[in-house]
Amino acid sequence: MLELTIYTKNGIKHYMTKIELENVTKFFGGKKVIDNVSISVESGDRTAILGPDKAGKSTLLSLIAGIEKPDGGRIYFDGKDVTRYPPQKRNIGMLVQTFALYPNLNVYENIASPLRARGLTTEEIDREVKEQAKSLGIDDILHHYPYEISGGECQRVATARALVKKAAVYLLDEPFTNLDYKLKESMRVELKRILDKGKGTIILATPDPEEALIFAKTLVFLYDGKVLQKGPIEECYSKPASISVGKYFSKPMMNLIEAPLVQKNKRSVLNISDELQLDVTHLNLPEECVVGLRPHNLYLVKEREGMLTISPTLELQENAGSEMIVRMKLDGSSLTMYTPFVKRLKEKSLRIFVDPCDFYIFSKKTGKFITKYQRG
Amino acid sequence: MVEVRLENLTHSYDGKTNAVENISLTFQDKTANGLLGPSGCGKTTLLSIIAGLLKPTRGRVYFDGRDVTELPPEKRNVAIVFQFPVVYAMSVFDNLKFPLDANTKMSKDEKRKKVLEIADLLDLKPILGQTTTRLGPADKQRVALGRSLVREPSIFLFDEPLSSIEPDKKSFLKTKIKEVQKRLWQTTVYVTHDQTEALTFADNVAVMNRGKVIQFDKVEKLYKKPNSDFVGYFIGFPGMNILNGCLKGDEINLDDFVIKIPENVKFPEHVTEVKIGVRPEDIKVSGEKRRDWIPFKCDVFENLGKDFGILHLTTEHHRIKVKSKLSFSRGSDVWVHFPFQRLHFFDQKGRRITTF
Repeated sequence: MLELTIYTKNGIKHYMTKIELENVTKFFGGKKVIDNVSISVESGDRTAILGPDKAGKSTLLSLIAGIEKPDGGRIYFDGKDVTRYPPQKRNIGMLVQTFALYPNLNVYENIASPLRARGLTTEEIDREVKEQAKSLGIDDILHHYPYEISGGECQRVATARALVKKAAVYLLDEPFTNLDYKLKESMRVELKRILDKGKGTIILATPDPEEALIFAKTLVFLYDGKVLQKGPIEECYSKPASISVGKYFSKPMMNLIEAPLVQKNKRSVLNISDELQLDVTHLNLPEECVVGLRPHNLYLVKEREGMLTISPTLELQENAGSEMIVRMKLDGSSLTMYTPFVKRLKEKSLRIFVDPCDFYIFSKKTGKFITKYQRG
Repeated sequence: MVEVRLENLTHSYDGKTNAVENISLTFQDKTANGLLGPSGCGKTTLLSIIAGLLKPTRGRVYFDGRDVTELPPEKRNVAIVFQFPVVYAMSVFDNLKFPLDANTKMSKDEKRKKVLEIADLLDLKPILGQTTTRLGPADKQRVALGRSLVREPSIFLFDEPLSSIEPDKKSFLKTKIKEVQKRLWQTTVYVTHDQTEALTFADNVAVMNRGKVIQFDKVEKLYKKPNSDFVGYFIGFPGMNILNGCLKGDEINLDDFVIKIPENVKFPEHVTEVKIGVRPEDIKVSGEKRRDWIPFKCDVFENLGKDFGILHLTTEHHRIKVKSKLSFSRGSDVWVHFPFQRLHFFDQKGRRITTF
C-alpha cells in the first residue's frame, strides 16, 4: 500500500535509503548543539532518536532533511554525499510536532499539495489522496477546512500529506507530543501500522521511551548534542550505558539512589538506605555507586522470592485511571513507583518491595554503567 | 468558601453551534472538581463562564445561591491559573504582593506577612528577590499560583496549568498544587485534557464531550462504573474495548464468537443489541488452546519496557487491546477469555445497561 518510491526526472525508482552521518557538528549562536555525531541508519530500519528536551533531536533531523547545514562533518544517503543538497533534492517526508496545514486549502487540497508540486495528473492525484485519506480514516472530511476539524483530525491530515509523498525516508519529529492522550493512544499504533506496510527508512525523534520502544528497532540516545549510546533498542534498554541514558530511557524516569560502599566484617556492602544494605563483595564495585531502579520495579506486594522491603513516605499519589504513579521520599531522596492498577493509599508510611536483581549499578564518578546486581 | 451551581448553561460563539449545551452541575463547597475531555469539548468555555470572562448565551451561574451571571470577573472573588503563567516583570516578592497593593485596609506588615506565608507554602522563599524574567515556566507558574492565592479567593480555577511546564519539574509542581489544595480547601475547578491530572487533583470529575457533560462522578466510579461507552473508553490506559453483539437466548452473539450469559444474569426485556465494554486489564490471554476460550490473531505487541505490554488482537470483525504479560508475534494464535462479571454493557446509544 505504501510503496516507497523516489520519483526522479528520469523515472528511476529507489525503494529505501541508507543514511550515514560522519562527525556532524552544528553550532547555534556559538553554542555547540550537535557535537561530533556519527551514526548509521540502515536502509529500511526503524531508528529512534531518544533524549530529553533540548538534547538536539530536532536539529539532528533538520540536518538529515537538509533544512539546516552542518558546520562540520558529512551526510551520506546510500553512500552519496548529500551534505550540500537542498531539502527538495533529498526526497524526505517529515512529520513534525507543530504541524501547519494551509488554512486556505481544504483537507483534500492540503493532502494533494505535495503531489501538485510534483506535477502529477488530476487522476493520479485523486487516487493517491483518496487512498491515503481512507487509510487514515479522514476520507469523510476531505471537503472541510482546517479550522472546521479537530486537532486530532488535523494531525491525521498532516500525516496523510507527509505519507502521500511516498518518500524514501520519513523523519518524525515528536509527532505525538501535542496530541490528547487518547489520540496518542490510537495514533501511535496506527502510524506504526501504516509505516510498517512500507519499507522506508524511518527516524523518530522523541523524548518518550515508550514511543521509542514501540516504534524502533535501533536506538540512538542523544544528550546535550552527543550520542551517549546506540544499538539494538532492547539491548540498550536492558543495559543503559550511563546514568543519563538510564534516567531518560525509563517512563517514569529511573530512580537514582546514591549508595556508598562500606566495609563490614571483610565484606563489601552497598549502603542503599538505612534498611537496605546489599552484600556486593562478589561484584567488585568502586567506592561510590549510584543504584538505578525503574519505577515499575517497585511493588506493593511481594511478587517474588528474594525481594527486600523499604519504607518510604508518601508524597503524592497520581491516579491515571487504570494505573498510578506514586511519588515518595526515602531518607530524603525522591522515589517513584509505577503500578498497572490503582489502589488508594491511606497511610503516609509505605512498605514497598524491590528485587535487587532489578538494580542497575552505575559508577558515581564516571556515570558509567557497571553491572546489574546478581546474587553471589 | 463557596458552592458553585451551574444551571442550564448554553454558550454559542457564532450563534450556530453550541460550544457548551444545557449544562447543569453543582460543585459543592470545598471540593476539588475536574473538567476532563478532548480538545474542543467545551471545558475551557465552561471555566470562562464560571470566572465571568464569558457571559453565557443562556443559563445562570450561582455562587452560594447568589446569581452572579451578570457580575464581572473582579467582583466574583475567583482566581484563575492559566496554561501560560502570567507574571509581571518584577521581583517574585512584588509579584506576590501586587494584588494586595490596592488594598488600603491592610498594613504594610500584614501584606508582607501574607506574602511570606504564601511563599512558604509554595517554596518560593529562596527566590523572592529574583525577577521573574529569568525563571523557567514551572517557577513562573508557582509565582502565578502564589499571586492568586494571596487574595484569598473563594474559588480557584485552573486551566491546564501544567501543559506548558518543563517535564522534569511537573511532578514537583503537582505536589505543590496538591498541598495548596489540602491546606486551603477552597472550591476548585481544574480543567484538563489529561486524565492523570484530573483524577489526581479532583475528587469529582465531569467527563465532557462535544459540549456536554457525559458523567459527573467520583473518580473511582468513573473507572468502575462508567455510565457510557465514551467514559469507559476515555478513562484508563488503554481505554475500554467496545464490541457490538446481539442477545440470542442465553448467549451474546458477536458474529465471530459467542459469549455465554450465566444463568443468574438477566438483561432488561427490550434489549436485543448491546455494546460490550471490557477493560484491557480484565481480559485473559493464553498462547495455548483452552476450552471455551476464543481464538484471536495477534496484530501488534506494544512493548512498553514494563512487566506488561499492550497486545492488539483481531478476529474478522473485532479488534481488542489487552494488557498482557505475555508477548506474541504478529499473526500468531492467541486464545482469549472475557470474565463475564468484568463486562460492562451499553445500549445502542452508548448508555449503561444494568443487568440483574
